[in-house]
This record gives sequence, C-alpha cells and structure tokens, in this order.
Amino acid sequence: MPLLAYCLAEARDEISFPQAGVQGMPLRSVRSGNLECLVSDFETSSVAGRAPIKDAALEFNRTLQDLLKQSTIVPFRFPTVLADENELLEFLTEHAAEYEATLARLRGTVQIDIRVEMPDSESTTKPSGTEYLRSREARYDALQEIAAEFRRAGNEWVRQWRDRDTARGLRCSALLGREHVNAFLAAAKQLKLPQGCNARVSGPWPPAEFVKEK
Amino acid sequence: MPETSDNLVIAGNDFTDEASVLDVLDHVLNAGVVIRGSLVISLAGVDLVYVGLDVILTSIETAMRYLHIQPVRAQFSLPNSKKPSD
Repeated sequence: MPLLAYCLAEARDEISFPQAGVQGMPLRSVRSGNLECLVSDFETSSVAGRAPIKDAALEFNRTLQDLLKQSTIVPFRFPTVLADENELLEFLTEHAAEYEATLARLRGTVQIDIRVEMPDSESTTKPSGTEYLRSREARYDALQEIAAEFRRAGNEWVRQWRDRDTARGLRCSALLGREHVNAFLAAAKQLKLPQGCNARVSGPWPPAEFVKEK
Repeated sequence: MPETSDNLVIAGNDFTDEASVLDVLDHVLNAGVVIRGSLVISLAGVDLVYVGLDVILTSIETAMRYLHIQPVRAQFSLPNSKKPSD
C-alpha cells in the first residue's frame, strides 16, 4: 500500500506516536541506520482517499505538531506519497548521511515565523516612475527595519535568522531552541509597530527553512 | 485564541482561526523535504493538475484560491498514473 511520509527524526529519540494521522491511519516508523521516518498508509483510490485536501493537510500538521513536541523533526512537504516501503528505504539509504547531519545540527530547535506586511499606500494620482520606485524602496527599507526589530528583540535566543520577500512584504524565520519559544513570543509581543504595518508571529514550526545550510 | 494588538498578532501554534489555517497550509504545502517523484491530483469537477514533487507543489496563493472558493476534493494517484496530457 502507498505510504504518506510525515517527517524524518533521529532514531535515538523515543517518540510516542499520535493515535492516528491523515485519514485516521495509524503511524509507524521506518528506520534506516540512525534515521527514522514516520509514515502511515495512504489510500489513493478508495473513498477514504478522497478526503478534502484541506482537511488532510490540517491533519498532517496536527500530526507534525504532536511529533515536534517530542523530538526534532524535518518534515516532508505534503503530500509526499511513496509507492511502498522499498521506495522509502531507497530514499533513506541514499540520503542518510545528509539528513543525519541535518538533524544533528538542528537538534532541539524549532522555527518561529514572522510575516511583516505593509500594504502599498493608495494614491489618488498616478505616480511617476521615479516616485513609484522611491516609494517601493522606502517600503522595502521600512519592512527590513521592522524585521530587524524582531530580530533584535529575540537576539538572545535566535540561533539563525532567514528572511525573504513575499508579494505583500517579508517573511522571516527564526531558529531557536524549543525552550526559548515562550520568551521569544513574549519579547515579540512587546514591540510597537509603526502605523500602516502589520505583523503576524506564528509557531513553533518544524525548522524546515533551516534544513539547507546557507 | 491568538493574542492581538492593533497591528501585531502573536498566533503561536493556535490553529483555530482562519488566518492560522492559512499559516498551516502555507507550511505543509510549501515547506519540507521533497522526494523526487510525481503524482496526479484530481480536483473534482475542475480538471487534473499534474505536479512534480521536485518542484513546489503549489503556491499558497493558488491553494487559498481553490480552498476558499469551493470545497475541493482531491484524489491522489500514484506516480505511474496517467498525466492529463497522456
């Protein structure tokens, strides 16, 4: 039967599996060396396999959150469906060294995300090209400054920081030890943002943004 | 519920409100390890969408558009399933 892959973890961790994952299927572990992959059977053709994708994605996240509380995990993108266990073992064998090193590097960490947005100001007159570019530059600088404020607020606990542009602003990811999540959220809560700017802080998430070293 | 001031939301991992659902979908659809392979997703009543798992499954904006317009049902098929163009 096809498998839905949830995440990779170090085999050294004792993980208590949630009772059920996506489609109510029980979770199990497939091990290869020091690497453990959490999977469940996945119905691809029966009625059970036609659950709305949104619900399945939310169930997938609930399962990951449960596992994240117990261990450092590297998630798979949803939906990663493999034909069978052999296909998964092939992947694990091929990438064992890479992901064992990644999990060791990320051990004990989680990711907090900060989305900073600043809608473009509405103008009644059409700006010139130069004015438009200047306003974009000013907006970009303002977003960067707000992101920097978040980073400074959590500087004591943040091990790594990454940010990238989105259509509406900036998305920042902070890597920190799981024991520092509450302190970081409390510090972020104290920030006063300038008018016209919105920020949303979410997490902890699995540290997916930090899987690749830069 | 998420803690909110005028323009700052500390959502944490409370996934009960609509915006948090979007956060979740953004993460599970756009982040994580990708295994080279492919699958076919059939969006009922729409058409077949072929996606390679070695590229981003879908942008979150696209996913949101689908998920909010109508209750979309998905049928997953294995990599050896026919592509829409086949």
